[in-house]
Amino acid sequence: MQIPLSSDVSTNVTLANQRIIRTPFQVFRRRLRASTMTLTGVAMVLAVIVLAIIGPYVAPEDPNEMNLGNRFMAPGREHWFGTDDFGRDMLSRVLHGGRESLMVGIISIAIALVIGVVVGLVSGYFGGWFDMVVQRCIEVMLAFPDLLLAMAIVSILGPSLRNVMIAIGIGGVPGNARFMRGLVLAQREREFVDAAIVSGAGHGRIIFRYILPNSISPMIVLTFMGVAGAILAGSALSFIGMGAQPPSPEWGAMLNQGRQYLRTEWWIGTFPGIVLVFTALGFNLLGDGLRDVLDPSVGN
Amino acid sequence: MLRYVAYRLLAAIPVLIGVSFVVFFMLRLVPGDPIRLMFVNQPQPSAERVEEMRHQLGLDLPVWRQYLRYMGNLLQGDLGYSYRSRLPVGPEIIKRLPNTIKLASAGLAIAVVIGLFAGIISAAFRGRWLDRGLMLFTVLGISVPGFWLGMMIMLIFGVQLRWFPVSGADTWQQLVMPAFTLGIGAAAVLARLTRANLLEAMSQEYIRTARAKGLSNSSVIWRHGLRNALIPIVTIIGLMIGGLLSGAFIIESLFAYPGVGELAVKSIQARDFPMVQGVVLFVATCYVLVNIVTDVIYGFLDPRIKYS
Amino acid sequence: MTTFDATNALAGKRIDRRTLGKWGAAAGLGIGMAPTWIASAQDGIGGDISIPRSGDVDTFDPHHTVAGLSFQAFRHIYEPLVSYNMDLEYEGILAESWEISEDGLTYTFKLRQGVKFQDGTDFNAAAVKFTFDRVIDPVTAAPSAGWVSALKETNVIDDYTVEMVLSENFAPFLSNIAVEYFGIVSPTAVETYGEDFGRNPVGTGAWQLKEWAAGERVTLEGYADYQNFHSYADNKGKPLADSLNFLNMPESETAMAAFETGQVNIMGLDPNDVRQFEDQTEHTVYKQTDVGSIAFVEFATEPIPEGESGVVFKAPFDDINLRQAVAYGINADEIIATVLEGLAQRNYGPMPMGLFAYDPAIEEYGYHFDAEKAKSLLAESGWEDSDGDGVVEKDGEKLEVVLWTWTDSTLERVIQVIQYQLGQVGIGVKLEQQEAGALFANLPDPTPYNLVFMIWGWSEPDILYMMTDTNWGVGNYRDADYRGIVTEARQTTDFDERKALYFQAQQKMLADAAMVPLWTSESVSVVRKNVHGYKQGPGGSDVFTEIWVED
Repeated sequence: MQIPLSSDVSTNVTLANQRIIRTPFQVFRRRLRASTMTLTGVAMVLAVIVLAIIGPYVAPEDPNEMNLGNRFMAPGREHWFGTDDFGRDMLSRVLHGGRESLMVGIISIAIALVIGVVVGLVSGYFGGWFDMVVQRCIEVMLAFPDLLLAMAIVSILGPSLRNVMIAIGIGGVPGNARFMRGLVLAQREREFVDAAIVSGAGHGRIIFRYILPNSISPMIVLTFMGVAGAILAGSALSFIGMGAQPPSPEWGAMLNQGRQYLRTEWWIGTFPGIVLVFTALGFNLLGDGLRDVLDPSVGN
Repeated sequence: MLRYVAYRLLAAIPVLIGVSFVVFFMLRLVPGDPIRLMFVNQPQPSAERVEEMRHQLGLDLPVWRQYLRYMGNLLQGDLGYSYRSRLPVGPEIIKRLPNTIKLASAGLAIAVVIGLFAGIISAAFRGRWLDRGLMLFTVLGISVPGFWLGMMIMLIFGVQLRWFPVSGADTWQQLVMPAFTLGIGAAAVLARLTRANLLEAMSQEYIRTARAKGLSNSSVIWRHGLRNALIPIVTIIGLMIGGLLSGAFIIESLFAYPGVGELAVKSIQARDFPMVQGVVLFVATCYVLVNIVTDVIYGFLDPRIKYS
Repeated sequence: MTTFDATNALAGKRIDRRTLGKWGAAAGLGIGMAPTWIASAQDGIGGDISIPRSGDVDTFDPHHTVAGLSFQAFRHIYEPLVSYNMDLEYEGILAESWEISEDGLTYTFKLRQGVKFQDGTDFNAAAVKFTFDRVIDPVTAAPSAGWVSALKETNVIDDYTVEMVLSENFAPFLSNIAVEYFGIVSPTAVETYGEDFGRNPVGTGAWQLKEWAAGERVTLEGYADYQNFHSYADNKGKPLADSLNFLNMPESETAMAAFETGQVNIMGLDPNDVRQFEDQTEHTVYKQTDVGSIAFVEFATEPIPEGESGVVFKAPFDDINLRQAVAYGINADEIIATVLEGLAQRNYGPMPMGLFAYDPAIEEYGYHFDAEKAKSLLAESGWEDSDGDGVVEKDGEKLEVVLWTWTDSTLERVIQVIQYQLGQVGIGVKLEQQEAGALFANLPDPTPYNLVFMIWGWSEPDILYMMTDTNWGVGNYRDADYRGIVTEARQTTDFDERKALYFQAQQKMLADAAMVPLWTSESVSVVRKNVHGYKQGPGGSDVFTEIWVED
């Protein structure tokens, strides 16, 4: 079971979060080279991104074109991935669906990143009662298991892929905000910040000149490690009908469609499953590499 | 120690109030007239009856007073009534709770056994093929969506091999497949963390000392590394319970397993909002309490932490 | 699991006697199997019958619900006064005989003697009066009360004779009460349990409630003193099986897997799953036509004041060209042949095919798929695709509409094809599925939707009156001519006259394109081979009293 956004990576990063790397890029490159697994991850993620970009252009057919005379055609020369229960070309659907699944991952993560950074920054930098309030809110939000929170949000907003992105994004905010706050607090302690305050720099200048640039990269790394979780959470919601709506070729929705044919027309549920696992695997392998960057004491 | 527990419990109160606040307003945001949603499958009541019910349920009060009323009921253990079965929400959740606890515990047990074992082996054989193989498996484990894994397990072990019944919660056999589905993903997470923590612990000064003293690799791992590595793992396991509860939602629906998660999914689909509200509140409360318990155990295990 | 289960509205699955010729073969399927139980009855055989279903009962009080899922369960607990035999003629169940007065206003029932309710209360005229008084009492607010709106009063003549007086001649009366929604309830139990009667049901039926684990399962056990008056029953007493269980299994894959492993042993199948059960080594497949059902697409309408006539379709479907474009744009034959796996019959009018008033000649007045015609109708009203995105526009506004239906895996496929087909003629359709209960609660407000995919089921041609007597969609179609015809028809006793009137009514409805009739569906059940004595009663309904299950 994937546990989206919560326990695995972020916790470990939180445990290690006091160690901030000064030159992340160099370490990053060195370590990337070091690990075949990470490199494989990079290659897989690139493949998925390329697929999402060019997929719709190379797809042989319109993914929503029904051809009811050609239902349930097994994979073959004419339809590499076969056809589904409406006679739609599965290859074309898988190629189009990548964009949607990836979008869920990226947009929801972006929502969580932007809001998390702003909240964490303001609360960590200014402290005081605002920080107090924010911390309490974060505690409240963390009291809801991610998927439950997402499901509850979608049940209010109504089922759609857009609402799934919002729901998963909101679910990621508290963790991000807390992590960001920790980073900001660490930066505030540093001499150059004190120096800037002494030299009379305004809050805006300090934030944007010193604090943000120094804390944003671990934040982005953390965020990046959540992409796989977000994609899987999105597909889980689509799978129970709360996400992408027909005729969308989102992979989770296709799995939901295909599960009814597992025994007879296995290809309908198999290909979207393979690409979904491939995508999540790529992001997770890459995420592992990135975590080693963050926390050099662990890893190979 | 007791003072620490008391402190943590007190500190949880504002969080729980916050949770109730969120849950309460969640229901306000739902589009549609609650009275109308109550009369699904039944003739809609007359206008007077609607007004009367509105008054009875306090829906004609200002929102803050509605919240106070809601909290008042809550403190008396009244979570409201299901729109559908018209039964009180609380007992309905309580009735299904043992099933979910069984499933989550079984899942957790599987996760802990497999996860710790794989993590330790992996750390012991660090860098060797066994380590790489296991780690690849664990990445795969967290990359396979649980619902998909569940379907495959059901298909192979339920339908093809017929080893286990595919649904229900009456016997232990019915627990096996959902528990494995739930446990395997968590095991992957745990294996990775065990390995990482073990390796970190092994790089500590005293381990090097132990090695320098000529202790064998395995006794270093067992006697020194594991003990220290276990401590953070307890926290992780605590945090994992939240993930297991979430995961149980979809797994329970898939296996028609009558637990709290299946109730939640069904209630969301049926727009039975008092039930949704009740489940969310309940699960969140459990989660907060589990976290406290975890922290207390953590302190218990780690002599360096003193409660004051 | 079948489409019909979820049909909330009036899901009484019954059959009319005039349909004998057509459906007799299907209904007779089980007869040859009957003797098996007799041979083994002595062995003290039993076993558990288990049936998976997509949802749960909301109440066991027959007067408080019209949910199909509840009906399926409580129809085994209660019995009506009258029902049907295998030849689909009326036969007395709790009534031994009955008489109808010349003017059609008084029905006099002679009741069976020596029947007891499951709680030991005597069944008698007082119980019948109690039941029908309860149904028509506004305080009860029985949703089924509308089906006997003509009933004025019920009088006890003596202990075993009751008389029902109607306020007007109402041809569907006997047919309407021949269903367990009007099953006789134990007055003692209703008084004892009050509001909780719905959880403590007591009737005279073959099965009584043993346990209801809400959301999980309903367990019924045989009623020891049961007397079976159905002429097709070989077992005249207590059911052979130990228990009859309805298990909640919302996921159809779970249900199918449970069937394959024997955890459940009788199951309704979605058309989509029928292919997987073609190999009948471990089970037997039964097909039957949902004789009283009609699937159609209806348009959102605004309610009109009580007592007034006319109809207000919500824009953009206030334009008849657009309604007709929908009618021409849907290729029902293609849907039947593919996603319905042939398990439906094209019906061009709103009258269900199994009812006596069905006349195939209606095809002439129906809409036959014609995409070009649909496009030209849209163009005629000024809707054209000027920006080449496939969706037509008028005055800069795209023709994008929302179609609602309830959550059901077969319907999910059906509406996706409709979405595609209408997309081909330039109508953009957005789909929304809601749980059946929520759907019916939300339909009266036409704001959020434009089209509804609906299935109605009823065994009486009066369905044409009833479906235009709700508060959504075609239920607000109160065209003066149409209402006049169907009102006249329900007061006419002569079959041929009624049939002619309904034909006229259908023509009017089709001319107005007030709804788009599509098909009458068929349903399929599978029964495992270790289940002995399964048979289907009138109209293909399941008969459970003679089943025993081998381990």
